[in-house]
Amino acid sequence: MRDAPADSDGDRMRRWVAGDGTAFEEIVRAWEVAIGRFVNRLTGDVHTAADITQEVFLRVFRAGAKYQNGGQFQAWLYRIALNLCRDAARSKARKPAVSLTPAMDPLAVGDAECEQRETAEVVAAAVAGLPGHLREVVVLRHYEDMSFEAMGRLLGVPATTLKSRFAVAMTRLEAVLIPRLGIEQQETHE
Amino acid sequence: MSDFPEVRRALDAVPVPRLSPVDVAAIYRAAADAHARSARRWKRVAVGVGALAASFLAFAVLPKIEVRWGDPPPVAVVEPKPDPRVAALIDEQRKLFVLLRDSNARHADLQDLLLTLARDVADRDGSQKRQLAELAAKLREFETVTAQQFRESERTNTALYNVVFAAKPKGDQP
Repeated sequence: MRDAPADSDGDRMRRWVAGDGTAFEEIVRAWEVAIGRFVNRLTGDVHTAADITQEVFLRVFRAGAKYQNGGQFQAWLYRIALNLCRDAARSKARKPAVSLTPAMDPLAVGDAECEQRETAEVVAAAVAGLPGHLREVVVLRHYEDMSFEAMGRLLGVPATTLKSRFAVAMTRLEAVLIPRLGIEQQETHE
Repeated sequence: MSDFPEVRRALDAVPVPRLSPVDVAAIYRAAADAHARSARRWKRVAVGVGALAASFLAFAVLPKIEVRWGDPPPVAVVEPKPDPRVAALIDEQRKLFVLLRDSNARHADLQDLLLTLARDVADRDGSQKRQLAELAAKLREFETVTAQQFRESERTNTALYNVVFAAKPKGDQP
């Protein structure tokens, strides 16, 4: 699920609270990619994601002394990011207008790349079109590879509910993506 | 979770843009700014509370101040307004004073009684001492009389002995 090292987050927090200035930067460097990716997939906007990622670590900095190390640093970090994404979605109250893919010059790319970019835009738009509670489940489950139990702890929702939400979200995506992308549907899923 | 393989493949087709790295220095600056803002806010709150307290005191005290101008020099007189708590304390103190006064009076009475008793005991002691002295004097007189009687008796016995045994001549013994 994570690119960041799986250990010593609690130790880093302790060191930082104890006055070790380098520990906070270590935390940032260990988690900025994972959090940035997660936020970017939730917001669908690179610039908003960058701002939110910055804000996530600012909140970590401010809340550092209050952090209680219970081995839940990752969940704590993701909860901050998730709440900020929700706040941003509420304040904007609009669908992401910017593509999830980086801007590319159409003249500088070939047909394959154009097709890939188009596919990405369609998928990004489909994901962005999901209601927030379904989009969160898709991002956490598919992209972050989080278990439903961990998601339940993070979101405060029973795992069974999250499984249902995930199925609903995937069904909706399938209904949107398969006709638009011309994917031949296989009869492998129920 | 092998469901929806086409959807999963499509989701995987979305590339992840690389975000710019987090500016840690900006976080430090933002935190410092926030700290400074918080300090300023608390300072303003403290000043406001101080001003409020000062104005409250002014409104509470100023109406009680009476400034008199004229022949005597200007004098600001503050009418004492009894605070109920102060009044209660004064009342309590007055009760304590009364209690103390009663206690002192009782103490004085007791002291008088003790002095009287002590005097009585001393008087009785004096009487007993006098009686003892008289008794001792009688005893001494009796001893003197007894000694005199003993001496007279001794003298009489000697005389009687001399009369009986000194008049017999030698050789008249049987």
